[in-house]
Amino acid sequence: MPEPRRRRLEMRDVVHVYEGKTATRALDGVSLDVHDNEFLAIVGPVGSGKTTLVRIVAGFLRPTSGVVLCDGAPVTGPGPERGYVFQEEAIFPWMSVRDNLGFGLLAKGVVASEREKIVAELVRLIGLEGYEGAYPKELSGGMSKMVEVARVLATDPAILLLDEPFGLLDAQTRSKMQDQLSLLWEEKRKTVILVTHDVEEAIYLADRVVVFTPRPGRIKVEVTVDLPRPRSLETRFSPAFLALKRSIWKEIGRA
Amino acid sequence: MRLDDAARPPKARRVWLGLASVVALVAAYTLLSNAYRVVDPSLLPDPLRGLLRPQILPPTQRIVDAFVQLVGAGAPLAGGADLHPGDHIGGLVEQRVTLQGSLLVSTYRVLIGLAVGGSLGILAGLLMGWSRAVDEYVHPIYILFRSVPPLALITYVMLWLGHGTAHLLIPIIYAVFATVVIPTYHGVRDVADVYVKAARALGAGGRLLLSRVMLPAASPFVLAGLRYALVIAWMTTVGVEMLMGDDGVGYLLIGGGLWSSRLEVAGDPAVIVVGIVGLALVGYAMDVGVRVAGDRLTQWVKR
Ligand SMILES: Nc1ncnc2c1ncn2[C@@H]1O[C@H](COP(=O)(O)OP(=O)(O)OP(=O)(O)O)[C@@H](O)[C@H]1O
Ligand SMILES: [Mg+2]
Repeated sequence: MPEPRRRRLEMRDVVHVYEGKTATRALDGVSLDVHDNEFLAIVGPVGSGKTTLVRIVAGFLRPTSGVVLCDGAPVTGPGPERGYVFQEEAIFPWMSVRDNLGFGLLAKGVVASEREKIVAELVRLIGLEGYEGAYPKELSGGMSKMVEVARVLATDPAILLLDEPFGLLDAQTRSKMQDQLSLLWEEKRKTVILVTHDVEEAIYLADRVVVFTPRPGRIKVEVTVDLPRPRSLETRFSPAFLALKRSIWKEIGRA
Repeated sequence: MRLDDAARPPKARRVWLGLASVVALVAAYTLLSNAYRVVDPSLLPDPLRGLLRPQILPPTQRIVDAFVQLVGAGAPLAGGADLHPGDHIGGLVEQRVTLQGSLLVSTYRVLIGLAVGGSLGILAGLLMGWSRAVDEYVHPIYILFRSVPPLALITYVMLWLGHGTAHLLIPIIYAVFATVVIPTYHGVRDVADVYVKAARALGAGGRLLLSRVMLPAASPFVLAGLRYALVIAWMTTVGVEMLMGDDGVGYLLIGGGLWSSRLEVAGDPAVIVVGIVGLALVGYAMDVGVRVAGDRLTQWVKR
């Protein structure tokens, strides 16, 4: 059922050059719209500017030229309506799992009792009951990544920017996390940009996959993923899935 | 947890080993410092001849005597006790300067220095690490001032504020301040970046960002800075007391008296050794305090 397709994020001719000893042209004119409640995945080779683009959308980086609009207004800095999960580890090691999860709510001024409720719900969602008081150093890499994703979800941002959130996980945890993210997205319906190296992950989760060229990053091809939802293990072996996978690999291979 | 934890001797044994080494040190010193009774020092080769004299290495029993006298100096004088107000220990006893009292006063100065200078230094480091504008304006001035030894300030402080006990605190506060700024600054600027970004993306700003993100992120560095500042604070305190104090360990070491006539009293090595050992013990205890408190505050650090 085609919903009214409101444009949530608009990127127009985004160019980014990192100044420095060697000026690096990371993005070379990227134009991309992300619709409301759309799940968009970006794949591309190492150093193709994926993180750069997401940082610009998150508001941490100003593009050298071009504009990014969020709900029609230019992005000028980070904001709680755009939740950002970093490629590197960014949960606060000095806070317990509970305090990490509640931090966004604290910043928003949510009262303690309400905060507790939401945090308890999130803990259940990521299956970390019993670890509420633990410091991140007591968690495995996968567990802390889940905390990081859940921390961003706490304030219920309309847009989620996920930069290789599952990059460091083993295949099993990874697929579990993908299922959880998929469920979550279906339940809460958010606009998501997911950066990943994993073509299968991109197809499995996204409505649309954008493939970047090697540096300087440009959009090479866009592939619409019209696999039915909810998706499951079966989806991963369906002919339609494999056909999509094949066509994306072909695009990547054609340098 | 360190990997070599398992290889370390158990705690009880460590304590015994530590004690044994102290006892051995005292025994060796006692032998060495009494050697002059057996051998005529003037017969010894040159560096030993100079060293093995009771004026340089006071015998252990003289140190113990001085210790007892200095600890008891607060008590009313026993009439007719042989007291020489002109010499180092006599002057101190006459003024009822005790070892424990002196250590207490100096410790108090060090603590004030740490509390005031530490808070100001941490605040300055946080602001410099946080705001590029503050950094750019303040950093050159800071570097310029940091190069001034704290003791160089003391005469100026005196000209400016007159001779008062409270003024002695100014160089100490300044010394701690200057020591703590840089580690805090680097903690915030170099370590906290990704955390600050994450916090801002979660909607945090201002005080919440400063107190719940920047400060804790920088805290292992701040604590290392404070541990070092403790040493600097003691150096400055003793120096300031020697130059201008009316009390404290520095005053005890130099034999009291008005600051203009200080160098006229010949130092008694036994008093000096007592003072130094007292300083070492208090310094050690305070370091343990800072370390234990610090380890508690940074339990979260992966080790
Ligand atoms: N802070 C920076 N300063 C200078 N150059 C940078 C900086 N960050 C990234 N670059 C350069 O910009 C290019 C794009 O980097 P970016 O991190 O966006 O790539 P990416 O697609 O996210 O790569 P990966 O898949 O490895 O995460 C790279 O060539 C990189 O060297
Ligand atoms: Mg990246």
